[in-house]
Amino acid sequence: MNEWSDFSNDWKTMSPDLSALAKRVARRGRLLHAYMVFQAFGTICVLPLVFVWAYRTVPTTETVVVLAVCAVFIAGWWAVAWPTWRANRTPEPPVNAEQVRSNALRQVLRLRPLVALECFVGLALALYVAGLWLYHDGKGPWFMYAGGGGFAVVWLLANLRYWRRLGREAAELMGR
Amino acid sequence: MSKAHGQFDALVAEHGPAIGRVAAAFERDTALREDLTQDILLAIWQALPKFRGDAPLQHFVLRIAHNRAASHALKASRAPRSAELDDRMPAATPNLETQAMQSESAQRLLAAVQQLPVDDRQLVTLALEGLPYKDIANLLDLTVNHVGVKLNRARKRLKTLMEGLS
Repeated sequence: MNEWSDFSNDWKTMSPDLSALAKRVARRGRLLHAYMVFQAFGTICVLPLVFVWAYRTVPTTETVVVLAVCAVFIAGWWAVAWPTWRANRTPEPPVNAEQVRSNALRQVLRLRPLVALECFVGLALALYVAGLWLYHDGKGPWFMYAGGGGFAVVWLLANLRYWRRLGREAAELMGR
Repeated sequence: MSKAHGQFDALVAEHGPAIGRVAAAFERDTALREDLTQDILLAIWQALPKFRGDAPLQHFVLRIAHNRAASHALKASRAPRSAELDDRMPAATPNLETQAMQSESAQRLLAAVQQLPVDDRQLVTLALEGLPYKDIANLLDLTVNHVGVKLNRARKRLKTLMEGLS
C-alpha cells in the first residue's frame, strides 16, 4: 500500500501546463460551433429556396435528378455530422473499455447501410449519365458527361472504400 | 472574456494536469498525444454548458478524458503505426516525459502504465489520481467489487512491468 502511495505521488509530479492549448481549443470550439450553425442555416433555410429556384428555372428531369443527388449527399453528411455533434455535447457516454468498444461497433453498424445507400446512389448516377450519353449518341456538352460521370465514379469508389473499411472495423471490434 | 470562457480556463488550470496524465497514459507518441489532449479539451469545451453539477467537476472531466482516451486507444490498436520513433520529436506542449525525467521512478511508472491493457490502464490511472473504489466504479460503470478485484490484478501486473523496466 505504501508503495502504491509512492506511485501515486510520482504520478502526480507529472503536470503539464495546458493553458496555451486550452486557448487554441476554445477558439477551435467556437469556430466549430459557428460552422455547424452556418451549415444548419444553409440546409434548412437557403437550400430549399435554391432547389425551388433551380427547378423553376430549368424544369427538367435532369434538374430533379441532380437535386435528388445533392439532397442525398447533404442527408449523408448530416447523418454523420449530427450524431457526432450531439455526442460531443453530451458528457454521459460510456467510459469503460468494453462499453466504448460496443458503442463503436454500434456506430459502425449504423453507418454501414447508409454508406451502402450512398454507393447505390453513385452507381445509379453513373448509369444515368452513361444512359444519357448513349441516348444522345454522345452529342451534347462533353463536360456534362465527363463531370457527371467522373463525379459519380469518384463518389462510388470513395463510398465503396469506406464501406469496406467499416466492414473491417466491425469485424475487428467483434473480435473476428 | 465571456463567463463560459472563464469557466473553461479555470477548469483547465485545475484539472489540466490530470487530463495531460490521462493522455500520456494512453498515447506514447508526442504528436498524437497532443492531438488526443486537444480532442479531450474540445470535448470538455463542448460538453461544459451541459454540466449540471450533480457530480464533482473532477468526475465530469475524467469521464470525458477516459472516454476519448479509450476510443483513441481502440482506434490506434486497429490502425497500423507508421513509426514509433516520434517520441523524440519536439512538441508544442510540454512533454510529460521531460518532466518525468526529474524522477526516474515517475518515468518508469509512466512507461509501465502505457504497457497495460486498456481496461487496466483506465483503472490504474484513476486509482493513481487518488479516486476511491466507489468513484472509480461510478465513473467506469462497474460494481465496486469488480473494481477491487480488477484493480488488484492490474496493480500486480503494473508491479511486474515496473520490475521489468528497472
